[in-house]
Amino acid sequence: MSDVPINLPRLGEAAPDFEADSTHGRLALSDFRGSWLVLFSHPADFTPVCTTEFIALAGAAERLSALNCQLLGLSIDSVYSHIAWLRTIEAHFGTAIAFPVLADHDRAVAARYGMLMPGESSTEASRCLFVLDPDGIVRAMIYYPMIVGRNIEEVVRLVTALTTTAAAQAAAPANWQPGEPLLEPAPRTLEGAAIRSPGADWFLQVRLTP
Amino acid sequence: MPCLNPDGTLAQTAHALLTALETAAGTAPALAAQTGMPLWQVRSSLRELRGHDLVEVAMPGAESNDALHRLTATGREVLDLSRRLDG
Repeated sequence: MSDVPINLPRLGEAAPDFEADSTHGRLALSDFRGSWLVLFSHPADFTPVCTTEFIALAGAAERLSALNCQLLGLSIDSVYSHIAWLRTIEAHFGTAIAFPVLADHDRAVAARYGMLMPGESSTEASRCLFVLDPDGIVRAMIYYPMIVGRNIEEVVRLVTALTTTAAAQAAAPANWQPGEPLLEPAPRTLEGAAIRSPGADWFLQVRLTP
Repeated sequence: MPCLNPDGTLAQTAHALLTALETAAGTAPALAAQTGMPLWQVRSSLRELRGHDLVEVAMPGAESNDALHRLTATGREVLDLSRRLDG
């Protein structure tokens, strides 16, 4: 286990910096500055659920790229294991994994991002996913157990909602899908509540124009 | 992408970046646009190329990853050698 203290990133705060080996050479968090980033961990290479997740993420990569969002994987495996696994996925399932995968052999990055859950496994990272904005600020976190694969469509929806609400300065309601109306942010003062459109609840108002 | 192959030859990404810098200095965003490589990959490669003394920041003191980069004499030499090896 690394000596790096185990932390949990917080929403709205700068993501912990790192520089680590990957399937595309040595990468630093700052290399992704200017684009949204989905940084996710998976328990281990050559495991069934992780393989399905990688195939699904590769299938979503183009849609994420269109949102100016990059993918960056991580596990506590060597870069050689990553290379062998990604080549196997391409050979057996016909899916090329173009996004980089960090080889966090000393668990330094996993520890900084709270990806280690000793109650689940003492040797593998859990299924953690962070969405960072173009300034490297943590905007969303998803934690899944090792036994259940993530819903990649939800990841795409989440990134779409984050980029859309950031641009529109609005909020996304439950089950929001791209193209659907957003919500006005709740007023934070009595004066702000008073100028809301008549006939609507002061705290819940659908934005009529995109 | 590591800039050097295990046999010591230039990797494709490094070759593309050195070639792009051959005629004019460039920043990471400009090089990404010019080569079609993702910006994160250009930044990572420039960092490694700087480590091998194949490129340098054009303005001393401006060490930002997106600073203007140019070929070093060694970089030009390695690029020429790489072309000769490619035949």
